Amino acid sequence: MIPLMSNDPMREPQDFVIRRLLAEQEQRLPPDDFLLKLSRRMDGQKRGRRLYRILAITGCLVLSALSAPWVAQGTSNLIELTAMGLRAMGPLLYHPLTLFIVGATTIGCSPVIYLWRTGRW
Amino acid sequence: MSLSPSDDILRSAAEASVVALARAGDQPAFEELVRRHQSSIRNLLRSLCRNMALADDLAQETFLQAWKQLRTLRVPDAFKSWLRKLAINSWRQHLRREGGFWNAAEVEEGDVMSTPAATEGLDLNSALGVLAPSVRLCIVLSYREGMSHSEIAAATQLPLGTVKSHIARGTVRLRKLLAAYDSSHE
Repeated sequence: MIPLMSNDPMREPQDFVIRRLLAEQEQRLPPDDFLLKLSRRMDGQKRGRRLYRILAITGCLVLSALSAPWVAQGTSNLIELTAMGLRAMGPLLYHPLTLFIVGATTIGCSPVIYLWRTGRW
Repeated sequence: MSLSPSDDILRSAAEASVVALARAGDQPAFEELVRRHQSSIRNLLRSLCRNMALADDLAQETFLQAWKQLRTLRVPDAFKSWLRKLAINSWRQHLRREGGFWNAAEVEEGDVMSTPAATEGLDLNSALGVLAPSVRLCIVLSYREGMSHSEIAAATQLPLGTVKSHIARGTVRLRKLLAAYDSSHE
């Protein structure tokens, strides 16, 4: 009969032979070769990442240089459209309906503004 | 690799401090961590793979993953268990790549991959090889690493009940396989 061992109620009773055999297998393995190989792999990965970064930056620079005219054109169009929009809104500001909407909104919000300003909100 | 004064300091430093340094990207600190843990990780993977070259290769992958993901480790004191989890994942990924099954439920007899002759006196490595990978993992973590059932469940992402049954069934199976070995060595 193979003896069982257990000192911890949270664990299954353990088989002494299996435990002993697994413990016998445990070896103190020297780190030198392993570490050397790992350092080489880490350096290789680092070089790979650096190359990838250089390629990505170069690609971005080329792409931005090629697309610069279109970006400039687009930005100028956007500014022009914004200016046109602001110009078109000017007469509306003096329209009676606009004044009514602004007045109604201010009056509607005034209780809230009062409560907020006086700290009673 | 030559030893500098900083290597001596690292060697005597507390684990949490070395982990903190490595997390900040210090390569010598990480190498010190490798020096401290490579033996246990390689031994664990050797028990799981039963192939030294493959186990060492998986251990290398484990440490490379650790180097990449070290910033995600929140508790420096948990480095060892975190590393063990990475090693287990490397092994599982290897099994998937190789097209091998992981879960014992996929095997007909539950925990048996092949049936050696009853008269054959098996050593532990061969006996472990007979077990399905998930059963072998639970047995190794329980017996070799001394982990509790709940710790194994957390590390392997297997349900607690499955872990318990894997260990119980794996132990019975190993006992049978090792009976001949045991009687010849007692």
